[in-house]
Amino acid sequence: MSDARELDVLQAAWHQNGEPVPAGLQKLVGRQTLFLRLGAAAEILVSVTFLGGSFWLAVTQREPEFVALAAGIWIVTLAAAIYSFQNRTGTWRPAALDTRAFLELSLRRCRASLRAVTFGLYLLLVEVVLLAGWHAWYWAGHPPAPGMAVWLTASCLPAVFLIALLLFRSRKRRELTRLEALHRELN
Amino acid sequence: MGTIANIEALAEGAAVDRRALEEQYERLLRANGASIMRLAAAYEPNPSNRDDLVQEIALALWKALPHFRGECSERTLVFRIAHNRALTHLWRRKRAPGELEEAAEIADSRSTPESQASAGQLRERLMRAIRALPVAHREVMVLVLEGLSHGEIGEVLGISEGNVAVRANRARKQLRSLLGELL
Repeated sequence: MSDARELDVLQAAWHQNGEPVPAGLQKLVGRQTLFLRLGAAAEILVSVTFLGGSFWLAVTQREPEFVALAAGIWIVTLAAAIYSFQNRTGTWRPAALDTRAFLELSLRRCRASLRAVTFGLYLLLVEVVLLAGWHAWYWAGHPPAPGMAVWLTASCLPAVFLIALLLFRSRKRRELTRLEALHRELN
Repeated sequence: MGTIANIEALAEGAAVDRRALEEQYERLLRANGASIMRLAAAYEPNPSNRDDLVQEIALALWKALPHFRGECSERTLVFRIAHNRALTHLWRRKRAPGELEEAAEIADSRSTPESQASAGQLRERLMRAIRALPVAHREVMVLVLEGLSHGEIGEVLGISEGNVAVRANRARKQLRSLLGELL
């Protein structure tokens, strides 16, 4: 069989696979777009609640402990925002790039995610130390301090964050390994 | 009054833009839906995972459309997005059990009596053979089978036409050896 004939046969066979796109795909895409927007709005809402709440507490309570707490929350949140902004530099590009450029971008994004996780781990440590110090300071001036059960329950939250960060890091490392292998294979 | 009129005009303009975008999106999906489904099938053998991949492609296309300024043809845009999402899918997912055996199965079955090719058999075997190709060859072969020129394939993948020709040639040799008597 000649090359041209062979290609015709292959193309004809290939085009027999032409299922139509599933019905309702556009509605689904509309719903996913809505969820993405809601997710972005939720992130902003959480940040505004923390920043606004701590500011409101500092203004209404007018105690040095609450002013210090609000300052701490603002500094940590701003540090996270600045780092996140710097870390994402060069990773905001449209999805319609050619494949090679897209792979480069994906590698940069994956490495940026891993750097963000490392930063998140340090930030979590700083937050735990600051909050523990703040609680010790606050309850020393406002006895009686809560019992051990409350402290143990409160310490679960950073533990959950820590586990989530470690799981995310391990997933991203696996992705990076596969992505680097694919990058090598395609270049 | 002037400001309110301006705002109303802007809102009306935005609604018109959105309608135009939705129409363009519908048209692109209608024209390229079957190609998207085939491309997804070439990268994902599992039907339910494939549906996820098709949704990811459709969503990426919707997100990319407002930024599209006609730098390439619409068909190239669709294939770029579909292909990029398929590769993302490839490195993010875990390999399903049995997937690696698929290539061996094609090779084993090529000289059996059932390989006396009917069109349906060739279609199925071809899809499995395509999935068994290394990614560097698969990406080129899928686009060749879709009927894109070497220039268009180079534009989609970001490689030179010469490179496309070399890869297409190697991919066809591998396909020949995988499909054997079916061709």
